[in-house]
Amino acid sequence: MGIVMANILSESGHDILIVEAEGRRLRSLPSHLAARPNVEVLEAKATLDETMVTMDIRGADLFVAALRTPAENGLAALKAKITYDVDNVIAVVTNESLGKIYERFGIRIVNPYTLALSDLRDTLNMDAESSEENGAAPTR
Amino acid sequence: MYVIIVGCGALGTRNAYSQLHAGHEVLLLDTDETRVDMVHKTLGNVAMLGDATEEFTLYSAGINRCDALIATTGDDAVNLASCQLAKFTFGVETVVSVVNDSTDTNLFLKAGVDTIVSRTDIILANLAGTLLDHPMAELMTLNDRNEKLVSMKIPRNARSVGNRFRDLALPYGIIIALIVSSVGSPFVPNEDTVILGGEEVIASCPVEALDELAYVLTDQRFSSLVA
Repeated sequence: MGIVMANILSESGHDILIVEAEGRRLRSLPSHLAARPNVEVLEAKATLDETMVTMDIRGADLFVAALRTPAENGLAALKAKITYDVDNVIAVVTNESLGKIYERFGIRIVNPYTLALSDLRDTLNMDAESSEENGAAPTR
Repeated sequence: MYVIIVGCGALGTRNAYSQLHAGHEVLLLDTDETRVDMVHKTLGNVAMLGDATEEFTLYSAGINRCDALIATTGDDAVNLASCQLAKFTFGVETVVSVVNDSTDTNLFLKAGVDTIVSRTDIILANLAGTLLDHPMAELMTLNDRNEKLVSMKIPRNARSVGNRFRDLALPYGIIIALIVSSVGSPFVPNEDTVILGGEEVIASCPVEALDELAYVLTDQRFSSLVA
């Protein structure tokens, strides 16, 4: 998820810093992404204060937490929002209850499951409309 | 009282032991099967395998009738998330968390945790307590960090020795909770208790009054005692 977001944002011309604790994962970044001049990487644990300071988080326009677990993303996002006053904070959270809690603190939530379900629903609706146009009975 | 403790490590297990002995109902949660088995062997059937950052696990643990949740794992993300679920999703009245990274203490309080216990503070207090002749140790932070539970050892030549507590100019807000005599016997003092050299005084004290309390009891400033 983090790679996808970094790819989209860097393609749009934004300066991106990818923070990852595991060097192995950093070294396996897609070569086209790692080669972009507006993409930097930092091997560090994103939930630590010293990392937040190193990444100059107060100067960030957007902070996206896309770590391993919803709890880790929550901690990183809350830290960015509450401790370092970052305006725009997004957390990738698959746990709906935790997502609602983080939203209370002004964090925007991206839930891949919800997005996938919405996409699936749209696809099914499109299939049904297409079938109706072709005179077939809508599928259920 | 029903207490859910997150984490079957040393802190969680010892805390569960104390709560059980105080007559409370306790359930420990952990994602590690070996640790859960260990609790079953030592404390009985009071542990459950599960991720406390998942709503379903907490629900299965009976969080709806829980009076307090205490998060004690070595992972601050798990501690915070489980406390927040307990507080905001299930309305648990008291949520307490151990904070492993001491720089996160204010964040935990702002994010809804009622009381935090800093693992660094615990270690420092234990270290201070083990140092011979160290006259002061911080035992615990109370009341959103505005008060501390401290232990002060009275030097034999301190001016407070031989005086009753009522005769000392103790700062406002102090509660003298316990005295441990020089031979290790604890007792609850009153205003007429006479202070003796070599005793340890356990007191709850507002942070801003620590310096004054230390000076009245030990003739030394707090800052010089803990430096």
